[in-house]
Amino acid sequence: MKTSPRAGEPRTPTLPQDETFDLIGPGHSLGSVTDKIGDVVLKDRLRPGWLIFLAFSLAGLATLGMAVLMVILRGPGVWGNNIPVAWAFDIINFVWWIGIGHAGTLISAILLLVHQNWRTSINRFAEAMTIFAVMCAGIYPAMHIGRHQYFYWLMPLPNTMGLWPQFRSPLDWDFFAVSTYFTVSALFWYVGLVPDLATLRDRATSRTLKVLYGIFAMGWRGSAQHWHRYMALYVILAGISTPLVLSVHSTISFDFAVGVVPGWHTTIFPPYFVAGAVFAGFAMVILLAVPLRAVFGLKDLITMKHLENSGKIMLATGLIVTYGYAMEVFTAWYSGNIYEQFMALNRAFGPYGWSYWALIFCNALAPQLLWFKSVRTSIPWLLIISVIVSIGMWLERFVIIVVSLHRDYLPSSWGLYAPTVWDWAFYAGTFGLFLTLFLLFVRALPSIAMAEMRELVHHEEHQKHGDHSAHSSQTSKVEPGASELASV
Amino acid sequence: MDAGTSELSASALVPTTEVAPKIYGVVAEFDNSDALLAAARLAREAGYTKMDAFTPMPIEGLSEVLNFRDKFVPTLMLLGGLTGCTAGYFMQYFAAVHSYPINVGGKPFHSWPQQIVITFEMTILFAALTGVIGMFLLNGLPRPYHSIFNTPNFEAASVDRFFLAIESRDPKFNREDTRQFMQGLGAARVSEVEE
Amino acid sequence: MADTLNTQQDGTQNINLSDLVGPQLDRLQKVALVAGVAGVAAMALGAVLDPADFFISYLFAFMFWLGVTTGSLGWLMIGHVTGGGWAFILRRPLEAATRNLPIAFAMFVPILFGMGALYGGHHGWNRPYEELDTILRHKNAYLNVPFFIARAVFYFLVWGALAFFMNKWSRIHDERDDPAVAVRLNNWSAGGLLIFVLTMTFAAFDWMMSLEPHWFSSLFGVIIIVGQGLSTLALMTILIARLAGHTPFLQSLQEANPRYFRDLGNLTLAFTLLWAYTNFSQYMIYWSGNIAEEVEWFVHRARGGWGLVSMFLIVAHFALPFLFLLSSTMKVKINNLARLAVFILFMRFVDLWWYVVPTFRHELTLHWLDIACPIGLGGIWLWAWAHQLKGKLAVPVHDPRLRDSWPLKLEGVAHHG
Repeated sequence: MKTSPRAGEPRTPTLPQDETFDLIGPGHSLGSVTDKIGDVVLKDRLRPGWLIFLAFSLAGLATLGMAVLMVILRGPGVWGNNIPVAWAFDIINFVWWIGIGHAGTLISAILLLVHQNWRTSINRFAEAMTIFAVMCAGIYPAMHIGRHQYFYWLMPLPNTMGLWPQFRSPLDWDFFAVSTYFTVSALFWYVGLVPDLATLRDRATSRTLKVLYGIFAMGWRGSAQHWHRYMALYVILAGISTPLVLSVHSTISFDFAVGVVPGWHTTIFPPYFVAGAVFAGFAMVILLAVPLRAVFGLKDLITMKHLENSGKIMLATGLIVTYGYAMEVFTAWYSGNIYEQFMALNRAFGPYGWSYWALIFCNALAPQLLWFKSVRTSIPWLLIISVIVSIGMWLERFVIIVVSLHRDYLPSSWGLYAPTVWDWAFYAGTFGLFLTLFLLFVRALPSIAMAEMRELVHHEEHQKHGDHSAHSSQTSKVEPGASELASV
Repeated sequence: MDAGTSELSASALVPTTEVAPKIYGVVAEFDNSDALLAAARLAREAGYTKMDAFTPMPIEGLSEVLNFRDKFVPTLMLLGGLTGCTAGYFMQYFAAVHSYPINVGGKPFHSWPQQIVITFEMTILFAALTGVIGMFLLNGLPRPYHSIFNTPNFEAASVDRFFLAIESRDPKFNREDTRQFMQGLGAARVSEVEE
Repeated sequence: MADTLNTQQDGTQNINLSDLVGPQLDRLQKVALVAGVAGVAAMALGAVLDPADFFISYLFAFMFWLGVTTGSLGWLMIGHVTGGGWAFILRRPLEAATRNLPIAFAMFVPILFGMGALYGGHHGWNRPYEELDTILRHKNAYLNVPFFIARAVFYFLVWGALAFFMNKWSRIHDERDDPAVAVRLNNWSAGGLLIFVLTMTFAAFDWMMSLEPHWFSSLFGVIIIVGQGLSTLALMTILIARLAGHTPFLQSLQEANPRYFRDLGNLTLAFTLLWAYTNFSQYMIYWSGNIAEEVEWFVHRARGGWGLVSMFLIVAHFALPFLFLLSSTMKVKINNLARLAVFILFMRFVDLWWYVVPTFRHELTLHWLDIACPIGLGGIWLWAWAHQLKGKLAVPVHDPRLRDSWPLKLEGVAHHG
């Protein structure tokens, strides 16, 4: 994207002393990156910042417990869902959380395939973010079905009634897509973790920790043969995760687009949902990365370059989403279909018109600030825009789901929707779950991939020494992997 | 592992009277990857075949030098993916056409456009599962104990040191010669490692 | 180290495309000119004998050759934004293709004479207002001849301006190594991409989607743009391989930087997947919704033998190239990739043919003009493209992203070249 607002200006705005535009701060060696990341897990004291966050998250988690209990005891009637708005907060939040997860897969898989080294120090926690976000998302449909004890009926299990799930229903596609996504993300994450768990096993001083990390490291010993197969697997996993992540949000868009509700039934939905997911996901990456690097002093590993690049991706995906809005409005008019036209007008000027204009502001206008390098390299601005984008993408799902449903074809079946306190409690509660898991993760596991950081240091050292003869044909650390992928 | 080791060493070396502990091999420690790569190349040229290297991260070109070229993992994943693809499609076909045909929205029982998503997801799921399980099993993991862990300073193999092992099962292995050979490679330390 | 770098850089700076592939370019021009003249003569004959069928064939041929022109503009701007090995190899051929925009505009002009045949007709929008049904009357605010022409002129002006500045700044950057120019190229490309995607979307709506004016699809613009991206990649791969595949220059470049060429294969793979993804999404959503005005378009492409072409597209435009592109041998050698690219290019023609023709001919028919038009327009296009390429430098010598890796890896090229 743009590197500076006007050509010819100095390309680098002044940065604070401890910030850098390099991929990694100066003076790092194989040992020092390992120490720095490993010590957060093994040696760090309990930091007040971490404890404060944890206290808030636990409060959120308790809220979630109450909200879930309420739904189980009293049924989904405690929510504001009604007819015609039978899908509301539960599905909005489900889609929102799943979307958040997509940035993690994009960073870990797609950026690996396109040789973007800068993914290295953010992929681990972004993948963790994916897994936790999908967990949060999964709770919503599980609670929405009402008879929670039968959720396993979504799976194709032979049974005495000779019944099968309705495979032609997008809701069942959704089940397959989300559970595959969760499984593959978790596997990808774990495979990436194994060498790091071995490092922790080798460095832990307490016997208990040694055994604990040792069990999960499975006896990894860094043998060349192991690495050979490991890299083959890792890159192919990245290769198959890429279409997978496209398919997941596309499938979620089919939940809507396959139906004939005006506002749902439009062909731009699949790619536009995917872009929106990545858009919100990168906002969440920034929101997590900034406190993470501040609290644990990782500014030289998660550098300004990572934040700036995340800002660029937010800008690009934000533009795609805006293109989607433009196409929706134009097609609604162009279709000549009165229901489509009414849908577009109702969105902007109906009872929920505020949500549409807020959405346009949050997703289409505010991110335009990211054209300026000074905004992309200012942490306060990045945080503000990320919060705005997160809200905007939530509003987008609100507009799609609630606003489309509340007035569809027959005016006699129109209605209004208002969330109840339990809707809000549930939403706040999933934040509690997400943050609790994330905070425990940063203390229990290395939040930056140590083995990959060592590769990066190794690679940078070789470049610095001008050792081009040895590496001329192998310019990137992902190169062996790329050839493995190619050999499938 | 141990077969032949004693005879070989007995013929070439001053025989020791005490019962020597069986050894896994001779292990050299290097402080950078280039030294390791060069050493591995020399060892291969010297005719050693049963070698392994231990590094804190994947090193480009190392598996080629050590002659690890198998393509099991990609092949397994391809087979897994094909299985998932076929199983996914025919599971739906069977349920919708044979086992419980039901008219939904006037669509044909065999609605292939609506079977694509699940077929695709099953392909990916099966490929990923076979790949991950296959990688661990092929690598002989989980394996809590391995002789290489007896190497001095081996904890650093997962941080910033690079190890090259010539195993005792190598036909050319000879405790004394191999050690001398390894010492000539510029290693920071060479040690004999017990089983 | 520094000395070798400088001398080699000086050596490579003088690599001129005419020196490198001059004879090949001459031969291409000759063949293209013959094909172009013969094709245009056939087209002229067809236009007189069978004007209605002529315009149908002409439109799909035009959409292809316009697509590789604007597709080149798109790839050029993406290259300026993201950098990467593929952008380095493709830079000159893409720039030459964007300079063909005036030719593409000239190719557009005949369509204005076919407005009746293409957009009038029994169901078209280009009829007197009284004859239109309610929906088409509603659309008349957008779909009317003066506005249609004004929009077309506007699109070409916008694309022309983008192409002009991209070429101009690139030339300046070759002359003097000024980082500010590189920054400007980068910035304008980011904004330019946005403008390009929007204008191309509406151009696709105007020229292709409005052939069946009741039908609409919000994804249509994306599908057409993805198709253009794939056509351009395939055509450029073929041209590079055919022109330079056996020169020592390209061979040593390929040896030194296999990744550059693998990038080309991976991009082709990605766009093959994107083509399938977007087309499947559009089909699945409308097939499931099953609303009369939305499925009409697909009914035309499922009945009267066209269903076979649809199936053929799934197999040959998606499945076969996809399987071939998974293998590394396909991607590492540009000559292998080029063989596949010929097939992909053929399928791009079939795809556009399938997008345009069934609207008019409800029975599967291949008119002889369906073959003559692409050849005629293609001959002219390629002749002009080769002309644009002559005398230009082979590579962007001051590309900031490649300064570290570029000259060093081409040891020995100076003697060969």
